[in-house]
Amino acid sequence: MSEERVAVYISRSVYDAVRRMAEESGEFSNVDEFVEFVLREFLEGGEEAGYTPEEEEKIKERLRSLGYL
Amino acid sequence: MRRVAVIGLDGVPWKVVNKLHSDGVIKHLAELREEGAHGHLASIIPPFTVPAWTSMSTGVNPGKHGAYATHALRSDYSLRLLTSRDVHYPRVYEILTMKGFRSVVVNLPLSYPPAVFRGVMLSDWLYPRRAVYPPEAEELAEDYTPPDPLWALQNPANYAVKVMKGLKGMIKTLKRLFKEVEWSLFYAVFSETDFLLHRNYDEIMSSDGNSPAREVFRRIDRFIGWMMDKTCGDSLLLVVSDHGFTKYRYVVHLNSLLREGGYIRVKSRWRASTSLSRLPVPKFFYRYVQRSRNMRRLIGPILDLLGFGSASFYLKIPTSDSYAFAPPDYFGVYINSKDVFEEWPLEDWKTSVLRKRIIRLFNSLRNPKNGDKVFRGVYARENLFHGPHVNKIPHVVLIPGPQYWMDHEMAGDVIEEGSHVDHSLWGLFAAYGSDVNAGVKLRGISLLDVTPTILHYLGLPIGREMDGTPILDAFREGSDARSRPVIKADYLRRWRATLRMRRLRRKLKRS
Repeated sequence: MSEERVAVYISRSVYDAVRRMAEESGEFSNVDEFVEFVLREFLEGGEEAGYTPEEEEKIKERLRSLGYL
Repeated sequence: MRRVAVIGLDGVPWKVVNKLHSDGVIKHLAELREEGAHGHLASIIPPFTVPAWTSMSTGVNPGKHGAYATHALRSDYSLRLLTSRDVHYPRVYEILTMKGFRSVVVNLPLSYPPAVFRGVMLSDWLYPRRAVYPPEAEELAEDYTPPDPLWALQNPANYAVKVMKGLKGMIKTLKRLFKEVEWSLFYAVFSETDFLLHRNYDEIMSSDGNSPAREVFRRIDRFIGWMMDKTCGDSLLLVVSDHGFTKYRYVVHLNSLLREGGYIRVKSRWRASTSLSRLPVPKFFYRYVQRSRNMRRLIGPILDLLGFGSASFYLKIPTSDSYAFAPPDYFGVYINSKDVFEEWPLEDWKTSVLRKRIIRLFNSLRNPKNGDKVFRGVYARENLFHGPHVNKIPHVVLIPGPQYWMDHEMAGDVIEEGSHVDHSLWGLFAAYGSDVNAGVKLRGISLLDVTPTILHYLGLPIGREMDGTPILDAFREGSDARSRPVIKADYLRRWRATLRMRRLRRKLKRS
């Protein structure tokens, strides 16, 4: 059974822009699907990928041990 | 629901499989080859872990995904390690996420942390610490430790034993994830094979029966047998490697040739990097060590024993004073040109003149011992790569002849004779499952074809920009995967929108 859905009200200009983007992408069948995808991505987040100098040195040591760098 | 499992054997060519099979060390991978479709898998230039696995998992060349090497040059000529955020094309599990599928990804180089992901991901050995995504999956991964090549430095004598201990934990975790997590793509890479081939190639390729290093291959092979038993119905098992290994007779020092050609200006700024820079050793000693590859190999382990870290050391190239230079592990030569960084000195018109001269220089190089042409191919980068990141690739890209490896050292003779084990340009590919064209030998396949093959088998379009194509010959006549037309879709636009959202989210979190 699909999850319950609720209505959200946004301005017409934003809606039109989002609709154009969803249509151009060819990936979404309607605005609801596009907005849900974007918000899910926004909420799920993820870790940062940057390394500290110590971490970078640790990885370089691993690579040097294999003869790289 | 269709499923694809991919087992990556880093650095393993069919030559190693054949040897281990004929010595009775492994059997399942040989069975898989007989009962499935198989072939030599062309690697990418340069055939190193990061560009090769990234090209395989995206299906696009480094000019499109941007990860040409393990590191990227900065404008001050220093090297910055790449992270998973430096990949500018969605990887197969990210495409699946965008299409609503879940994946399990374990130790895929430069995968962690994921940008867009549903499923379970365990960090790879190029991420500085062990990590699990999402954190709630930690309980499933309690036995997992990413393989670490530094284990070799901690205890060289028992390296393979230590690798085996980590491997057992990884296989236990993989079996658990296979059974307990819902997935459409299961993607696990064994890096241990590459680490051991670097250090124990002769031992692995000798016929002296069992050894701890060979035991690691036997254990991975048993896991492949377990995976074959689990592959049934609508599922496909792929075994792939990103490059091969072989023994070379000569090593070509690229920067030595550039120096001889007058492209590198050496001033009194020579200095040692890494280990030696921390030792009060006079300059004449550096030069003495530089003259002999054997001497460098001798000094390296002594430095390790003294606690000065890596055995790898070399004199830094005075790049800002040079017309051109070869960075480590790039298979190519940069011209010191503004088209790479605005801060670099040479104008574009000079770059095109210099490039022609440098291509001639490398094309004309012959081995004085036998008259052989040293390079099989010398290319302007645009002839091999295409995409928005081509300008970060060396201006001249080199493919050495079969007897030759190349490095970035500027030492002694341009060509040094001496046995050297390193990566080769051919990995392996094998497919197994009820839809597979059993017994077929596949020809002309590349690691760029792996992701399109996965997507097509799962019933999805391949990426419009992908350079590879599905390996349809791997599937039997009349099967759905063989007869269904290949369709294409634009994943990049959605991917970029997702990344923009991620950046916005980080910005908001910081404010």
